[in-house]
Amino acid sequence: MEAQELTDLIRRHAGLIHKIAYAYCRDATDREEVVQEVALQLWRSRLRYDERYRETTWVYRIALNVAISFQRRERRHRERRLALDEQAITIAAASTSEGDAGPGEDVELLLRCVDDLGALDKALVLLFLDGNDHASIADVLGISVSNVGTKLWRIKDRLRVAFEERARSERKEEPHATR
Amino acid sequence: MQLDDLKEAWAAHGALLERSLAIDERLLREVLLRKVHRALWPYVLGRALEVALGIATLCVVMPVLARHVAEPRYVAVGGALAVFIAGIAALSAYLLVNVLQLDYGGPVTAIQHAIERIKLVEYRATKWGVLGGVVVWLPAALVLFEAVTGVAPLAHVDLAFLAVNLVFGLVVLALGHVLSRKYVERSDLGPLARRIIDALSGRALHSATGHLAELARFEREEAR
Repeated sequence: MEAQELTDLIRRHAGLIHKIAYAYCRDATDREEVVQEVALQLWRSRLRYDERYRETTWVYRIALNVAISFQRRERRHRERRLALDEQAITIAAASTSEGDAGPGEDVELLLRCVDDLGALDKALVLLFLDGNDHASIADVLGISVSNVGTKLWRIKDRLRVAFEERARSERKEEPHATR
Repeated sequence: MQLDDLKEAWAAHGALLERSLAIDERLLREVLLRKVHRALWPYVLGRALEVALGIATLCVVMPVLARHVAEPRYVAVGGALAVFIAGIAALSAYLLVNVLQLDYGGPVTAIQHAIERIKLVEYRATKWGVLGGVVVWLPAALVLFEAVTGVAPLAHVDLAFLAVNLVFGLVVLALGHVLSRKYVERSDLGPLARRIIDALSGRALHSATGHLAELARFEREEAR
């Protein structure tokens, strides 16, 4: 794979990489760092790419492994931020008719609820939200298809309760806010 | 609200994000070429040096040990030193091989397992390297002095002196452990000090074993 091919690969999967970075890092600088790190790992792993798997599976694996490792590293040593001297890939504020690149209300609520999940449960939810079937999710995460089904069922239940609780607490806060 | 209801909103969010990604192709090419090599190079060099140094030290220590194999103080001191050096060199070699083999393109649970196992070995190597070094530095100096000069100071050193050094080393070791726990929350430490304190205090080990336990829970088949 040449650098040009890597650029094309990143472009093809930009949405996927971005969403994972967004879900694991709430800070814009952290997100850029994760996106850069994903690009580096894609380049480093290019010779070991197993063509039996879909390209998307490979990109998901790398992006999730980078994001989870980054989150764990940052949680332990937030003060040890890597110097970002050059930004080959940057996240511009997409000014569109819909507004900036910030998430809508529903997605923001989802992300806040998903933040309470563990790193691996979060990965499962992200893969599900992206419309992957159970077999693909199992491939990316390295667990059985039946385990994916059971876990998703449990997580959906937990998230439903979390959504309701958050919605209820926000409704309670609203009258105070308008006063 | 159900998780299934959010798929559309999530896809729309992704599409919006996708448009915000700007790639500077020329810079990306340069950064890739430079960073990919530069990022791993210091680590690989450091570990390779540790392995080479360990082997070289063993090559120096073993003939001294062989010359004094009938003397208990040499067997105890030199033997402990040889085991310590061999252990650290083996751990460094293990880390070197495993880090070079790590492929982020593997299944998430398998790669996270591999990363945490590497970290566990690294923390243990740091911990025992520092703590063991406090205890073995004097015997190491005596044996290496003999290997280099041919003069055998260990044969003339009082056993009580060696015992006092051992006790002193153990006290420093315990003190280091206590102090590392005391200063583990300090945020003004440099990267090396942070790494050593995290390893000595056991915080890094605790974090790695915690993540491994989380992985094991995640992989466990659940019944509905």
